[in-house]
Amino acid sequence: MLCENCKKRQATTYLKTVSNNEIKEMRLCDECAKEFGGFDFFSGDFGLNGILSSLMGQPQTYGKARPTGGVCPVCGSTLEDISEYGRVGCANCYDTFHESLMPYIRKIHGSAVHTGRVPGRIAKSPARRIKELETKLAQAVAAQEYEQAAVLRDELKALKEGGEK
Amino acid sequence: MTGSSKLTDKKDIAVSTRVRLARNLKEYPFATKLDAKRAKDMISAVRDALEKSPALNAKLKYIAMDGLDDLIIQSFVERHLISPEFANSRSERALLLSDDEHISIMLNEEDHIRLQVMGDGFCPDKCLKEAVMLDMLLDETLTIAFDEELGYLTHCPTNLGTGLRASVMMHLPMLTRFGEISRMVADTGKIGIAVRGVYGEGSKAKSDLYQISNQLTLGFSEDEIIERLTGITDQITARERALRKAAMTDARDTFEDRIFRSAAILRSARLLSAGEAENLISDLRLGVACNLISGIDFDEISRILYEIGPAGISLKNGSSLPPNDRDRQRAAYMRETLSSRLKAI
Repeated sequence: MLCENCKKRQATTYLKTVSNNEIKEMRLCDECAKEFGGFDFFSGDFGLNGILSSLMGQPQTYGKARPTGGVCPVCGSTLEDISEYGRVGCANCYDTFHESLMPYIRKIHGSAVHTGRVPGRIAKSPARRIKELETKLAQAVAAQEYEQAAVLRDELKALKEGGEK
Repeated sequence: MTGSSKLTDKKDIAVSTRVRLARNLKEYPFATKLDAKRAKDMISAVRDALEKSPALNAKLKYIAMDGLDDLIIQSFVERHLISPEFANSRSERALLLSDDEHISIMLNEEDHIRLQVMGDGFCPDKCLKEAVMLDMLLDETLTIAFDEELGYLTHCPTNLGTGLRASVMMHLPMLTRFGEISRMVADTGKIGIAVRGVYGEGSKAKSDLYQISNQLTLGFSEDEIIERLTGITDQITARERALRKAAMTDARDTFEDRIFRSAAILRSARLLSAGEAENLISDLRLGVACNLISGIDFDEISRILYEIGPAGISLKNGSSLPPNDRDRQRAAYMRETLSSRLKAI
């Protein structure tokens, strides 16, 4: 069987991905497989790196023109750099190019809201605790657990007043 | 191995598990924008964090990559401790490694910190728990790049959110033989899951090994990612077991014949290439899983697979070897390891 990417060499590697219900199947030769990641535990880490470049390089599908403009004040990256490398230059790039990057991030992950763990410094921040308590309070009220809601309300009040001091 | 432990860690099917977390330090640019001096400073910052934490310091030793011998680095790749990419360029890179090698942390790979925990069989919960514990210890002294909306900030947006990649290496000889891998993957549902395998000659996968891992990292919690991966590996495991059982009932002679022939070659051959050895070991593993062969357990088989790569065999010899000598050494190693032990049940 010939490689489905270069259509020249013999296919040796099989790659199948399911993402947002979309199934993608490829049979690749050794050379092309390297581009999509070889076969070991690390291949899963790099297999999709080209995706940002390819998404940003498709003007007809994702907007009127390839994104342009702006320079990250921290690392000096431009949107063109990010599009070329498929990677951002620093943590601050996600702020600088927020508006331009978000559509691609949503396209890649099908979502753009983090729901996992957070670093200790953020978990401990009063703002986060307030947000958490507000969610729990809303849930308790919806479930008509009024005793629980009263406890949460008092805790919230204390936290908010503490923050104003 | 008892039937019940086989069911929980799925060792008859699952070879090993790996959980990886990608993390970056807030105050340093990412790899492509990180110059040599800043890279050194970044590594020092992590090293300081290690020294400040007795729990981390006791677990991990610091290894500067540029001081290592080529053969040792290659054997790290063969044992999945570092990525091939990490081995290629070594300056301003370092590794934190536990003595038993089940924890390895690459510094200044694609992300500043690539923390991985590995385990035998199917154990993503255990690996995640340990990875999270290590992450929390690092987080005590380091300021990790994070955004409330996007989660942990990573060099490549495909790792945003949890920065978690959980992978299970599965041994699927019967699903391969019956060409059912594709259908299994098509059934695997909504979360991004990738199945990777390597084809050898024709359409048969080399060593019948496949890696099943999550592709999506943002929008799901760590537990949800592991839960989905578990669900999918459960389905695959059940189907592979059913096919093995059917072969044992309907075509026992052919099935047994193949396994015992492979075991015989491993015990007697004088020359074995890495590829041939891997395929024979796949049959051996199937024989142990189907209770046809005893005298060796799954962990030992995994260890042998890690040790018979070109660098692994050369290391046993003490220096680099040409391919033909390696094949002779590999065959000798297999005879030594297996000849007096394997027993037919």
